[in-house]
Amino acid sequence: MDAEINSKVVFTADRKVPLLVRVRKNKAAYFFILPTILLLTVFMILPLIYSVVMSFYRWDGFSDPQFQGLSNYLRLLNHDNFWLALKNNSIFMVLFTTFTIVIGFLFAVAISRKVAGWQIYKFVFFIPVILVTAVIAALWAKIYEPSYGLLNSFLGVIGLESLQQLWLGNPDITLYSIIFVAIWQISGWCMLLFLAAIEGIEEEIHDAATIDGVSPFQRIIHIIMPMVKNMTFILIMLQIIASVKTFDLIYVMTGGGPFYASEVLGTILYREAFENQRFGYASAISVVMTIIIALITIIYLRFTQISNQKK
Amino acid sequence: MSENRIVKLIIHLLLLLCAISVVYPLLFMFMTSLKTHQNIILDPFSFPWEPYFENYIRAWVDTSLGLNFLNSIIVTVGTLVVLLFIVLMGGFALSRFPFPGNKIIFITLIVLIAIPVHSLLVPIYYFMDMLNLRNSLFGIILLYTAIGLPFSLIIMRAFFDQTPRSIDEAAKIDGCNSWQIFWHVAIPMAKVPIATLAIINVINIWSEYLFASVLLVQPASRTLPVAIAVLQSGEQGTDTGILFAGLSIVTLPMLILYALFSKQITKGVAAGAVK
Repeated sequence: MDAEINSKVVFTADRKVPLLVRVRKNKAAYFFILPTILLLTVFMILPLIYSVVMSFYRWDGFSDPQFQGLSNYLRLLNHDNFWLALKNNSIFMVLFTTFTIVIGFLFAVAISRKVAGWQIYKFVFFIPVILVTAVIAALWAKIYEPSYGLLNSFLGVIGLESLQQLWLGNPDITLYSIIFVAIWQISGWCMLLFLAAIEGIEEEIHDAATIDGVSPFQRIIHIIMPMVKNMTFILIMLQIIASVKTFDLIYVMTGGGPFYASEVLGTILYREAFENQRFGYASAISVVMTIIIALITIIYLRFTQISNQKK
Repeated sequence: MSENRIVKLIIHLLLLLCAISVVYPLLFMFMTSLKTHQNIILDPFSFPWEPYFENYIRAWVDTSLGLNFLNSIIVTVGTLVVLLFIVLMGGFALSRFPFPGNKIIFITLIVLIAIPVHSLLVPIYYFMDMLNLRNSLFGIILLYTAIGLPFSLIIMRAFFDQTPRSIDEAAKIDGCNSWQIFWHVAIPMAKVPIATLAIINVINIWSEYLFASVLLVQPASRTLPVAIAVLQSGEQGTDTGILFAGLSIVTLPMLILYALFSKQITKGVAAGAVK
């Protein structure tokens, strides 16, 4: 406990000291870091390894697991719903990422230029972010409800009966109804992050622009957009990852239905594991999800490194 | 100039429309929760001039929502306390001690941030089953702590890296051991990152559904998101009034917190995401 607290954490200089001496010198550190190591090992590292191993087995959770080689992965590739889910994840990704970022950016610009009532807008647009996703899903399921739901009733009242839809019952539009809710929920979050980036722009630049008679449109293109470029990259990556992981909203609203119309990787994983008891197969889906996200992350890191080098 | 005015008017109208589209569904939720079933079907848009509180009483008593509410609070507060304490300890260790393994742990944390926790669902379910921690709030607190750990620890380490070590030195000369320095010097210094991390994590924990839905299956052990999903799927027979009362019960605490601390919350979320 009385181990020395070094005035500076220098890794390289310490290299020459024997390992055991360094361990002994810092024994207090191991006490402080131990809970972290334990928790991460039990709940993240072991499960991760387990997941990869299990994906090569056939296992129902009760009988002995049987080694199957790559057959879970082959089955996945031949599973129509897997491709359907990938397609839905992709549609979700493109629409969700584009709209949340564009809407978030526009909100942020309006609020940073202090339009009348900007404090109220900032407050209101962020509200959905703090709501529980399951609540949002249940609420919108009721709003989309075909016979007495808010949306169809409203369309009826204003005389647009022709637009009334089975919002969550028509396989052609279900996915889009859900994506709309996801955009509704998360745009405010993008707004907040853009605001943080825009507030980094010095007021003098804006003042100079005002004196030079720059139009609001030019201001967005030439001053604000270059300044939020990095934030945009970060947001694009985070939203793409969120799209691959999306689950709660879809599962509570439709369970992946009707007729698998809103199936995504997350809903297949859940169903295979906890309804069909195919733990090995579900693990293979997890591994595929992890690989997709890892690839996106690597591409993103490459991309940002290249753009940083150019500076 | 007049063209400019039209553009401005359009912008204002659009903003207003967006604000209404956010607020109205919530207002609709609260209004519906105060109506009788008949009223909900016949007159969905009306204002509940004669509020019908029966829905709340039935949601709280008939379904297990009251208990689930308590569970959610226990899980959220419990996770926050455990998580923040472990993160303070870990951040202190990573920032102040050049112990062998320091770098490896830090790199592991960064890698773990990129791992989608969803993909750990099956093994974690199985592990929890083995450890007899299914349907246990203690188990889910440990799990949520682990999930929040990598990100929170990186932020805490960055914070400690920025703080001067001269105070530690002075305390050491005064004869404090590492634990005393941690307890009396490091923790009081870290009020700002503690608040930031509490805000970011509280939103995630209060809303977490996926793991809770597979691990907390007994009605008495469920947290609110799971209870709401069950209520919505109509396991206990769908009564719209009760469902909306339930939704309101879940939403109100977060809305109140947000109304009270909106500045801190928006700042905390932005600070957390930028790093």
